[in-house]
Amino acid sequence: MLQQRNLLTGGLSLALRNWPALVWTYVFNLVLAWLFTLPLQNQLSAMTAHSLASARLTGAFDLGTLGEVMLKLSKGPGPATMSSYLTTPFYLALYFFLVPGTLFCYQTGEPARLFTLLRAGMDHFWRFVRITLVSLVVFAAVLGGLNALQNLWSEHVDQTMVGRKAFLLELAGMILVGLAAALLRAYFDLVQVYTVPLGRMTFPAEAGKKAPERQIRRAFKPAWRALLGNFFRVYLTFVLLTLLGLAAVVLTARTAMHSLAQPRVWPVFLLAQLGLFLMLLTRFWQRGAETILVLDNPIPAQVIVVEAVITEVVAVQSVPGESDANPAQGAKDARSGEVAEFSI
Amino acid sequence: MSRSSQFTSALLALFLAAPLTVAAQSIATNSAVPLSTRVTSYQIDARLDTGKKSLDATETLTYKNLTGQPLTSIPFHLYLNAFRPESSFTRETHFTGGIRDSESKDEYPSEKLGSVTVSKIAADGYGDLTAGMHFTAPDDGNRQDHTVAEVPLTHPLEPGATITFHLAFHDQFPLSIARNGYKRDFIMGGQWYPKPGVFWHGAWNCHQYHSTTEFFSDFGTFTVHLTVPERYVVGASGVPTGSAANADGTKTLGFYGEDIGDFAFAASPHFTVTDGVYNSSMGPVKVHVLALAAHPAAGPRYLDIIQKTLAEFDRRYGPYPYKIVTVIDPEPGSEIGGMEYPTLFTGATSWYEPTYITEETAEHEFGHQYWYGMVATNEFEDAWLDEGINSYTEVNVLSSILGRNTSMFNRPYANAGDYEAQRLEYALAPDYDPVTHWAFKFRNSNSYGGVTYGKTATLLATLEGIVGRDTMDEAMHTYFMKYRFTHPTTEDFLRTIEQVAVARGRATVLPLADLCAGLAGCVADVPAVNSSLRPYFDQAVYGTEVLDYAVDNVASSPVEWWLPKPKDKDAKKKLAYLNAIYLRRKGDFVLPVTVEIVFDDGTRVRENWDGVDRWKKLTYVRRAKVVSAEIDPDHAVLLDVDWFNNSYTTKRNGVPARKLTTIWASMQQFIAQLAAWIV
Repeated sequence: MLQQRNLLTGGLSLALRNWPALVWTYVFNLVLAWLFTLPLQNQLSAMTAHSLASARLTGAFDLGTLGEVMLKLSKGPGPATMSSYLTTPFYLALYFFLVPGTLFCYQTGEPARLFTLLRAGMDHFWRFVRITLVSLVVFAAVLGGLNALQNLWSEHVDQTMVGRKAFLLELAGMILVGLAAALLRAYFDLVQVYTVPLGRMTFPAEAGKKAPERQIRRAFKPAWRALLGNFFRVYLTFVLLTLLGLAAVVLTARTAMHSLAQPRVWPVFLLAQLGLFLMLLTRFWQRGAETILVLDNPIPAQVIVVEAVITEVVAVQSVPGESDANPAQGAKDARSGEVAEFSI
Repeated sequence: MSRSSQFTSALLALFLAAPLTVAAQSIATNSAVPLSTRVTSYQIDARLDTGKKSLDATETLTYKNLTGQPLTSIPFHLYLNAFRPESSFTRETHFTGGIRDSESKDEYPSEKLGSVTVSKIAADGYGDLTAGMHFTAPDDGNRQDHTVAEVPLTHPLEPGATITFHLAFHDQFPLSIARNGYKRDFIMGGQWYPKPGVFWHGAWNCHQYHSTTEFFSDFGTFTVHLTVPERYVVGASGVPTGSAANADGTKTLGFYGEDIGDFAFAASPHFTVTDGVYNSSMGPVKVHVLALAAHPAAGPRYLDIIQKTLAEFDRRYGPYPYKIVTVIDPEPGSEIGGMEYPTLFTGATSWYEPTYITEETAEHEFGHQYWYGMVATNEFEDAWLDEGINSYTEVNVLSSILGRNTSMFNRPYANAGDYEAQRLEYALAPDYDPVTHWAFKFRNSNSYGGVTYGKTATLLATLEGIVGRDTMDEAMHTYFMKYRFTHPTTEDFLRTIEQVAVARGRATVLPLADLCAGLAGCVADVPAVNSSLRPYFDQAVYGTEVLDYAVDNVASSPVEWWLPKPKDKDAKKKLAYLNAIYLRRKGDFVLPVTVEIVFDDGTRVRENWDGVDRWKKLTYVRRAKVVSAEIDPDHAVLLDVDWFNNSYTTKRNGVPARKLTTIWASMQQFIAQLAAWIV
């Protein structure tokens, strides 16, 4: 009989038990952001550190002075803010390693050491890239259409009313688009979660040979089935945690904003980081909840030829042909409990 | 003619007669005598079709020839014809940007087409002049620009004589563009009727409508009747003279204005009324606010700021002589907000507006009642005398009401002052054009905005620092009282400042030969008043020089540098230092400045530098080291484009850079996390 564990508590438990995955992801983002912002910091420092005019940004936060800083930066020798835009692509690249690694640790119980995260991440990297490409196509198609509808709705509202009512009606339209985006995201999250155990299995290939599963399409159907079968549980959990993350960011950002006029920087820094960390925690919580769901709804055994390949075997598979040549060795290294978790 | 039409006509006749009776009692102003030389007199009867966004009207215009010479033709402005792709207005907007709309796309939306079509023009004693009317393009020769039409007279209009035109015209209002048109069921009637140019300085001054230009017209009286659907509320220039319901579900509203140069109206079924009174030094002024029902806070906010603004203007510059000022809250998302017309202006707000933009816009547009409305400079050729001076007075008035550093945004965690906004606007485009350029001859709309508004406000604030606030206030008061209702020029304004400054001992009269000494690009044809302010005017007003002074370097070294450094405190205190401060003039603008040097024993020294050379070295031998050096320590030279390099302190302050970096880096982190959520 399939289990029906609580997604919220189970997900939180997984996220907290594997806290190093969360912390590493946060640290990478923090380091990347600050690393790429260093040129800006240097330019700002050169401009303000020895000027009396900067007093209005010390014990106060004068927006006119801020505007002057931005104007000077824009007229400076080089666009100092440019390098900071590299944070996102670099973080996303790392994220493609860290997410599969995290899901691997969630599913296998392996300690979420950086090495483990990155090694598992390397195994699944291209699968996740392919899933992302597919998801972007689906996002563009679905959200593009919805966005066009939203624009029509917004236009209609704009033509007929103004003020708070118009704002709320337009906001309602945007929330609907956001909810659709959340649904798509939840589905592709599940695809990602199913991809991890599938990626560690081998399947009969042509000419009777067995090859590691590189297809991501096998994950779409179970993810769809799991989503439909547990729709409200999954969707409400996902939306709730998304809202929690956003609320954390908004609240801490607002509090940080109220500290801007202080002649100290650490309150702003700590509050901003707290919000970002909590936002990330809710994302890992979502991943944990989705993992619980996948573990409770494994891929039916008859659909695939199960040949479990767990952590250590992944390492063996890195030598081409070795694991295929001696699957028994891999099975011997495997911990039976983990095999059962994702294969039956 | 139907019975209802006859009834309407009878009512209209009553309305028409009413102003003639009450005009003698001056229902429109608090003055017993005419305030202006009334060149024109309009009687307009218009019917507004709110469904088709169009208007049909008849106009009786009486023009008095006070030019001192016979006139053989009269040019008319037909501003609504600008809203066509062929017009100079749209061409300029498309290629160099407009101050309200860019029209950058390669197609012109049909709903933005606007026009004014004169179907008939005749004049008493001159017959039907319609056939002779033809479009002209005095500025750029664009034959497809139909914003100016010339009407040749069949015989000259002699000096002192009067001509009465009778026109019939049809307006098609565009979807809101450049202060005009409709948005949803709101209609703004601005520049909507044929209006003659101004015979000024010996010639007709009737420019085409350009992307950056505003308006110029003679003073006169307006008697206007507007027929609108019953449910509509209308605000208009002048005072309301009555309302009569018509049988066809419409109503006819009467308005009368005198000593004004233009007439505008705004109509919406969603206006709510908030009224108040301000008792000016000339009499009571009704503040009539028509705010959208969707903006419940707007009415009280507009009323409060306008009452306070009226008090400030009355005290600083002179009285507001009209009996009413009407504030229109236009539909959001329109291009109509923030525009001035005589005794009426449009604001700009929203249902949620936590800043002081509502107040700032209202104050600014009210200020135009003085500089555009009464002083009435030529906005085509001397835009800075209206928009610029108004921006300067806006900064001062808002500073008095809302605080100098908080007049745009005031929260415990952040603030912004209006003067900084003006400075920034100027700094964005400081040197393409002088403020005296004709409005349509600026490089582009950014330069027009930055220079006309921002630079003027900033240069006048800097001038205030030079001659003193009291002197500047007196000069502004003198200028307003002397030149109201007269269409003054740039030199009228500058000479007024010079005369007041000289009289108060804040400027001196210079011999002619001294005026251009050491100044590159100094204007050769010096005007009649040659004060010590003229070099400033030549650079700030007539020139494009950029003002940027900097403290280049600060150094303190022991005079006897070759001796070992003493270790005990007393010996250290007795050590003499050679302090050197290098100042630099980075821009071409030459202005004497003050420098303040602070030493670590607490002493402060102020020096003056004439700024003629590119750099200057200040040296001091003292038993103290320099802590800081600052050019313009009183922060009076707002024209300096870079305030950060105006000072140098040896005490490093890393807080601002860390604060801004923290904000920026956190934002990057957030964006990265958000992007990761998506992929």
